[in-house]
Amino acid sequence: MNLPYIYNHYSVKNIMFFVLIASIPAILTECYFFGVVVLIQILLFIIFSLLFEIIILKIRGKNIKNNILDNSSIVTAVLLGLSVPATLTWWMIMFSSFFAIVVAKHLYGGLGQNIFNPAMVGYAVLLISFPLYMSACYKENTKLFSLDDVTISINKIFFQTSKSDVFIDNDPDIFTKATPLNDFKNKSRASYNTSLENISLKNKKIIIFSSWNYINISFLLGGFFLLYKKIICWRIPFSFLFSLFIFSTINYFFSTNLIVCPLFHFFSGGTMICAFFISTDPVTTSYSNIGKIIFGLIIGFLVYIIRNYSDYPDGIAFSVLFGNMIVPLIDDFLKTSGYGHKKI
Amino acid sequence: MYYTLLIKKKYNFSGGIKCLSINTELDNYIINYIPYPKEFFVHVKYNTLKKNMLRVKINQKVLCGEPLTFGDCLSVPIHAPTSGLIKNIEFNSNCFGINKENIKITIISDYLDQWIRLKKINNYKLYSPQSLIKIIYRSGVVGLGGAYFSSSKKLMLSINKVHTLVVNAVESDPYITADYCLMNNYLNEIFIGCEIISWISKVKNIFIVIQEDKIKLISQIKLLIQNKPLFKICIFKKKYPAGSSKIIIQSLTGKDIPYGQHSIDIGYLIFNIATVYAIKRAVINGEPLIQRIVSLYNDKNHLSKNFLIRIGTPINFFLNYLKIKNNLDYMIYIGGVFMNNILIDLNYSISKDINCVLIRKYEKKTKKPINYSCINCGYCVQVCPVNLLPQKLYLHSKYNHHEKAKSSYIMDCIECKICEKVCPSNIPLVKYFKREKIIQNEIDTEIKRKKMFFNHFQQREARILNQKTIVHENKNDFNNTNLMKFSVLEKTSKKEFVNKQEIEKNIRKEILRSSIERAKLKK
Ligand code: SF4
Ligand code: SF4
Repeated sequence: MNLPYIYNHYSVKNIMFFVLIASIPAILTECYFFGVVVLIQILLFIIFSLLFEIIILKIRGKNIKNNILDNSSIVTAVLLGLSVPATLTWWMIMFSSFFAIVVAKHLYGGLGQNIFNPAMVGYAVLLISFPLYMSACYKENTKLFSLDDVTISINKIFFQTSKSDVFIDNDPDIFTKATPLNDFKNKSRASYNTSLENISLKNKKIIIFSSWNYINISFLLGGFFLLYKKIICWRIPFSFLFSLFIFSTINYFFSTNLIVCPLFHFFSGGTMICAFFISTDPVTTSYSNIGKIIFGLIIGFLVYIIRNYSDYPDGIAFSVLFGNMIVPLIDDFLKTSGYGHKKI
Repeated sequence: MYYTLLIKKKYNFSGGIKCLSINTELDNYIINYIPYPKEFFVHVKYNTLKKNMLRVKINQKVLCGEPLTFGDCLSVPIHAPTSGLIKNIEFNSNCFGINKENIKITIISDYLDQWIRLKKINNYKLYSPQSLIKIIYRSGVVGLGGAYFSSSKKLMLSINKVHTLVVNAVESDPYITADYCLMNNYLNEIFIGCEIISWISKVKNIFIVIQEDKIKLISQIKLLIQNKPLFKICIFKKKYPAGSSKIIIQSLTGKDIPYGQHSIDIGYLIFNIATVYAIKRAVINGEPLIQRIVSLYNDKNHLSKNFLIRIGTPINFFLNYLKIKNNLDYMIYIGGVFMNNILIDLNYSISKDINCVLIRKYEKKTKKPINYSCINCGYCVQVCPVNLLPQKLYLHSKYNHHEKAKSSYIMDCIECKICEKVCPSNIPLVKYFKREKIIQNEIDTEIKRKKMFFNHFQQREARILNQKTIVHENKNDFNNTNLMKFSVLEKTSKKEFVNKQEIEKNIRKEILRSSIERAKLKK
């Protein structure tokens, strides 16, 4: 029964809707930096996800209207669209949403039963299958929202015409990689310091750094909105950021040259989207308070490990998926002492 | 007014939920009286009521306040709410359990309201605690907060054991104002009641717990207790649920009542404010408990009124008097907004444990709330006031994992229903919990029964053994312990088995030998 008397009473639908609202600033910032292509991409993700959702619901013989209305597949699609770089063609988008909706969500039993975060499954599938595209670059967007921009992006998505700017790595006029983390990964081991001396590259780097900073900050704003509305609980984001901060700080002080500074970790790559949007997905995280903190700590640690010591630039997807794997274990072993029993 | 704003410490507990405040002014709450109905239905429901405990017969005249039943150690006597004629006594066993007998006594009022002679006591300090407890027992005072536990028994247990009396003025539901109304009108009498209780059980402090939004009342109480060192006022945060005794203790002391014990065992005696008032009336005025204050909460316009109602007034009459004409259009709930238990029988009457009647207009539900499956969000975990994991309990009880449900402490759930209210998937959690609790209880009784039978069996065995030793005392060659160990049969059967095997072996050997011989012969 719905009661008007309680503060903060949400239904599943409302929760998902608020998440969508909270992701608006991030969408706008990404649009500003990378052009309309982001918007088109997200739209395509939403269309394909809903399509797959309807098909699979039909096959499973469920009530289509009720299940579509819970908005969860739209949230998955938007998060997926925000986290991948804007260089995919339409069939990759289809491929990714197929894995996200059908395999990760409905083959496990639909909303509430899935073990893995659907968005991250879609992302990981893309990352494994098309690593080149996933770490590709794009030009700085100069003709924002002009007709040119629209045509270029449509060409890019549907026909993959502007291939030339995807695969060039050493052209100084183009940002080399999707994220500065990737850039750092490629250059740091051997010649991080020398490359920094190159002034023109340095300027570029500052621009790209700042763009990712702004995107992360906009995610942070959305996250604070969610926190304010009490949709998500503060435990996961803060424990995640805390553990990432602690580990990278320790490491930073041991080897200042090789390792980037902790603040750089915070505002680059997908840190904030992970902290506030992906890792807080209710279905695939632990429901108890202590479990949430443990989950956050684990993810933070894994992100730090993957970023610093593995070949993948941004370890968000794999660490979240690994954390999801551990969640059932955490849930099974955590117990609260009820009322008046011995405290555990 | 400003006095209370200076209070720093507000007692609080973990979990719980904030509710929107009532928009009408709290000062408006006064007691309304309603006239007496023609017929009273007095329901007597005790587990072990025997029929010979009834004190009255059909067609007997009773006076107001006359006891209708004898009490025993478990139950208190029940009194006639008005003077009149006993028309009918019905026995019907309740559908919930066989050993729960329900007796319905119908009294026709003669509108004279003649009382029996009341024995007033002016100075209760002349009496010993035991005799005061007897008076309270004879007046039929039970816990009026909904617990229905006999107050006299509670007092008896508490003598020389408790150090603090907690007077519970915290409404268990945010929209019930019965307790507030009572305090507003009878504050002095409540203080006398507190003193009586402190005289009986020799407590050292009296805490009056009250919620923070009753500002006027708090300042009033503060003025009254200024030069009484015994009293202390504790202000609670306005939250649901705060009225349960478990939670009051937790908020006051920060500790839990250990499992299987009562608050008395750790030195706290908790009384509802209405009970305190009833005790005062019982001791000083000699009045038995025949009336109580009931809140009427109307969902439509947030109207809340309080009525002083004789116990036994049919709810039907109550509604008719309020000009709620077409009863079929309304849903009547007993208990507050959260505890809403729907009432089916409109002829049911106000009993001692009803403190709120909630009236809702019946609406045909056009939009059914969609039930999603649990999305694991953990909102329920954050609000549970007794530190349980409702989601886990839900899964265990849904899939009948009784062992696991028990080890997650399902029996501690106080059925406050907040977890259900905050659940975004609209899962009726408490329904599952209630069912699971019934099953757990059955399992418990089953285990107990098994233990008992096993005990009986062992005793019987021992007895038989004894008899046998007596019989065979003189025959030393007979070893009777072997008989008792069930091993005789086993041994004999084993022997037979071995014999059989050997015989079979021999036969097989024989066949082999003969075949070999035949082969030799052929060669
Ligand atoms: S109904 Fe039980 S499980 Fe649910 S919040 Fe209340 S005490 Fe906790
Ligand atoms: S509030 Fe409801 S949906 Fe959320 S974890 Fe609890 S039972 Fe599941």
